[in-house]
Amino acid sequence: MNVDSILGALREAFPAVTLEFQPGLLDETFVVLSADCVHPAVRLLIERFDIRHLSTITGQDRGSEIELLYHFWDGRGLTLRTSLAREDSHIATVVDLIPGAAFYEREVSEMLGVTFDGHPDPRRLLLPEDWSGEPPLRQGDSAQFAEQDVPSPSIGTAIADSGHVVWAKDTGRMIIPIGPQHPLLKEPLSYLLTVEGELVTDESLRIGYVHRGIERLCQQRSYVQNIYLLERVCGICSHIHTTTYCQGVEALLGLEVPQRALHLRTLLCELERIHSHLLWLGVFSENIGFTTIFMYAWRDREITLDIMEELSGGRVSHAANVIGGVRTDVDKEQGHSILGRLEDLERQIETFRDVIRHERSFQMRTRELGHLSFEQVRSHCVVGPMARASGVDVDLRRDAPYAAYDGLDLRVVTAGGGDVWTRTQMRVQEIFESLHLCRQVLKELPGGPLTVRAPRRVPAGEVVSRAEAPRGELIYYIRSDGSERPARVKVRTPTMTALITLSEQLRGINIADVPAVIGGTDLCIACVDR
Amino acid sequence: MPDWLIALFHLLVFPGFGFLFLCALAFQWIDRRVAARLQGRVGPPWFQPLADLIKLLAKEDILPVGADELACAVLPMVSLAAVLTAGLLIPVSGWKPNSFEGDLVVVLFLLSIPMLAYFLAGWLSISVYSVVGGNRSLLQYFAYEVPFLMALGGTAIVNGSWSIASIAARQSQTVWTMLMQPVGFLVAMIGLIGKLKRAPFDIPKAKSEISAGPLTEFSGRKLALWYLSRDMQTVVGVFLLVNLFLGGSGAMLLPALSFVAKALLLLLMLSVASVLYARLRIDQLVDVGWKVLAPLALLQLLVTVWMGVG
Repeated sequence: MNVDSILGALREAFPAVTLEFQPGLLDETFVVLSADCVHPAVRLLIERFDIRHLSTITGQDRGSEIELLYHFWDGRGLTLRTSLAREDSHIATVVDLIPGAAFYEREVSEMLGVTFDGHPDPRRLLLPEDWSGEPPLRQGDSAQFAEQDVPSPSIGTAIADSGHVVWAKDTGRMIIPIGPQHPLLKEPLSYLLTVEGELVTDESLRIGYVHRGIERLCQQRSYVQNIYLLERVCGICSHIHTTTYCQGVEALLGLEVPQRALHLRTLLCELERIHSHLLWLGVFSENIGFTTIFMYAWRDREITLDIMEELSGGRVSHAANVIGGVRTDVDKEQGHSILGRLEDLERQIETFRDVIRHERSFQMRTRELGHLSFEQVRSHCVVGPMARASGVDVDLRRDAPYAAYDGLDLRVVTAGGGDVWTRTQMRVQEIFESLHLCRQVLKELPGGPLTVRAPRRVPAGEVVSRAEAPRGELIYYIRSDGSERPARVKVRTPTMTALITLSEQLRGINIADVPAVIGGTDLCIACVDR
Repeated sequence: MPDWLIALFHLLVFPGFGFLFLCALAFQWIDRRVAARLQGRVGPPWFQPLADLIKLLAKEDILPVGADELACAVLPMVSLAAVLTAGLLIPVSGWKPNSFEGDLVVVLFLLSIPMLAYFLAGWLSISVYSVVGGNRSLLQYFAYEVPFLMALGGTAIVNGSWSIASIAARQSQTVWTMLMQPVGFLVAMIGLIGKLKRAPFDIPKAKSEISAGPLTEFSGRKLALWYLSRDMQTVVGVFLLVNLFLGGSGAMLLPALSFVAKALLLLLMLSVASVLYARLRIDQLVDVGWKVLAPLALLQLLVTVWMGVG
C-alpha cells in the first residue's frame, strides 16, 4: 500500500474538505474525514486502490461527539476517522460496498446508538432484543434513549409466536433450531434453519449469548488488570489476545521488548495454534460423525497443553505476558525435552494428515461443501485459514511481523479449493508449519532479560495492534487518555468475519451438511461475543 | 415337566427374554469396550449397560405437549415385542425349539417392525428433530432392506430351505455359506449395520445434526425400552447371520462355544466398522444402497441360481 498516493487521491477527490493525516503507532495511518465523505472515500479505496479489507469499525464516545474509526488493511493499516454529532448520530452504511461490514455496523449501532442509514439488516447483534436504555458504550445520555427504545420480543417468543416449532404440514416447510443448546454446538449461538425436505432454504443467526461486555469492563480496569481480563475473551486462543494487547500498550509506552521475551511469546503463540487446530480437527470430525479422529486429536492435543502448562503453569489461560515482556522462561534441558515431545506430536499429525486425505467417507462429507470463492472472501473481509483456503495469500505473521516472526523462516500455506475439505487439509498443514516455527524458536532462543520495566502511567495516544490468531487476523484498538485506565479497548476477533459468510454457505445445502459447514468455519463464539 | 412349563421356560428364560436380555447387555458392553479401545479410550466397566438401563428406568418420563401419548407408550413395546418374537425363532447353538419351514421369512418380517415403530415414534412425538429423523429412517430402510433381503434369500436358495435351522444344519455337511457367497455376506453385514442404525450409518439419529432423531423427545422408561430393543436387535441380527452364513453352531464338539465365538466375531466386525468411517449423508447411503449393494446382491443371487441350475 502506497500511503502517499492514497492520500493524494483522497485530497483530489475531496478538494472542498480539509483532510487531516496522522501517522500512528505500529505503522498505522489515520485519515480524518467528515461523516458524509466516508462512503465516497471507501468507494475510492476499493475502486482505485483495490483496498477491500475492512478489519473492523471502532466506535467510541469522545465526550463532545461520537467517533467512528474504519480500520482498513492492505499490507499496512489505514484508518478513516470521522465524528458524528451526539444527538441523532447517523452515517451512511458501507455494507453496499463491503458486505463484510454488516456485523461491524450492527455492533457499533447497538453499542453507541449510531444509526447506519441504508443498512439492510439493522437488528441487534450482541445485546438482548429487550435491552432498553442507554447504549453500553455511551455515557451520560440515558435521557435521550429512555423513551426511544421499544423492546422487541426475544427470539424465543418470536419463534413461539410464528408457530414454526411444529412443522407446517401444508408447505412441508419447517424451522429447525440449532442452538442455543444443541449437540452440534460447543458454545451457544442460535441458528434457525428453514428447511424444505432435507434442504436448507433460509437461515437466521443470533449471537450474543455469552456477551460479557469485556470492552466496557476494560475501561474500568487498569492496564495491567486488563491483561488478565482480555485473556478470558477466548478459552482457546487466550495467549494471542494478551500478546496483541501487550504489544499495543508497549507501543503506546514506546517500550523495546527484549528479544528473548518476543521469542517466548512466539513459542506460546505457535503452541496455541497447534492446540487450537487440533481441538478444531477433533470437534469437526465429531460433527461429521467421525468420533475416532476426535478421540485421537484430543489425545494428542494434550501434548501441547502439557508443554504450555509446564511453561506457564496454565493449560488454557497462561498469564504469560506482562507489559514489557513475559514472565515465563525455558531452560536448556526443558527446551530439549519439549523438542522431543514435538517430534512425537509431528508423527501423530502425519497420521491425521494421511487419514483425512485418503479416507473416502471423510472426503464424501467435506468435498464441494461450503464453497467460498476468492471474491467472496475478499468482499466479506474473511481472514486467516478461511481466507487462505480460498486462495487469498494473507498472514499477518509474514505481512506485518510482530513478536519474533521477523527473524523466523515462515511458510504461509495457501490453497485454492475454498471448500470444507480444503480448509481441513490446510489447517492440518498449518500445524506442521507451527511445529517448524516452535523448533526454530527453541533452537535459536536468544539470551537476555525477560522483561523491561514498564512505567505505570501510559501517555495519551492511540494504537491499532494486529496479530494472526489461530483463526486469522485479530485486531485491537487501544486509546489512552493519560489516565491509569484505557479510555477505549476495541477487540475484533477473526470468527466475526467467518460468521458473516456462514449464511451464504448454509443456503441450499442438506441439513446433514450443516454440521460440516459450521464446523468447517472453526467458530469461537466466546471470542465473537466478548 | 408339563408342556406349559417348558413353553414358559422358552419364553422367559431360554432362548427367550432372559437369555436375550443378558446377551444384549453383554453385546453392548463388548461393543462399547472394543470401540473404546480402538479409539484410545478405556471404555466402561462390565456393569455399565445394566446401570444405564436401571438409571433410565428410574428417571422421569416426559413427553412434549401435543405428542400422541398412547402411541409413544405403545411403540417401544411393539418394537421390543417384535424383536423378542424374532429371537424365539432363531436357533441358538443347536437349540431350535420353534423351528419350522419358512421361519426365515417370518423373522425378516418381524425385524422390520422395530424400524416402522421407530419411524412412527419420530412422526408422533412432535419435534422437528424427530420428524426429520423419522423421514431419514424410512429412507434408510429403503436403502438397505432390499439388498439385505436379497443377500439373506441367497443363503436360503443355496441351502435349499427357508428354515433357519435347516440352513444352518446344511452347512455342516457342505461349507459355510460365507465361503460360497462372500459378496452376499458382505452385503448382509452392511445391511445389518444399516438396520441397526450403527455408525457409520447412524444417520437417523445423527446427534450433531438432529439431536437424537426420532427418540429426541423420549425419556425414562420409554427410552430404556427403546435402547433395550435396539440392543436385542443387535443380538438377534448377529445370531441370524451366524446361522445363515457361518453355519450356526456347526458340527463341532462344543456347539455352544463355536456359536458364541462366531457371534463375537461378527460383533467385532460391527464394532470395528463403527470407528473406521465418517457418517454418511442419507442421499449418499441411498446411492450406496441402490448403486452398489443392490447390484452386488443381485449378482450374487444370479450366480447362485445359475450354479444351482448348472
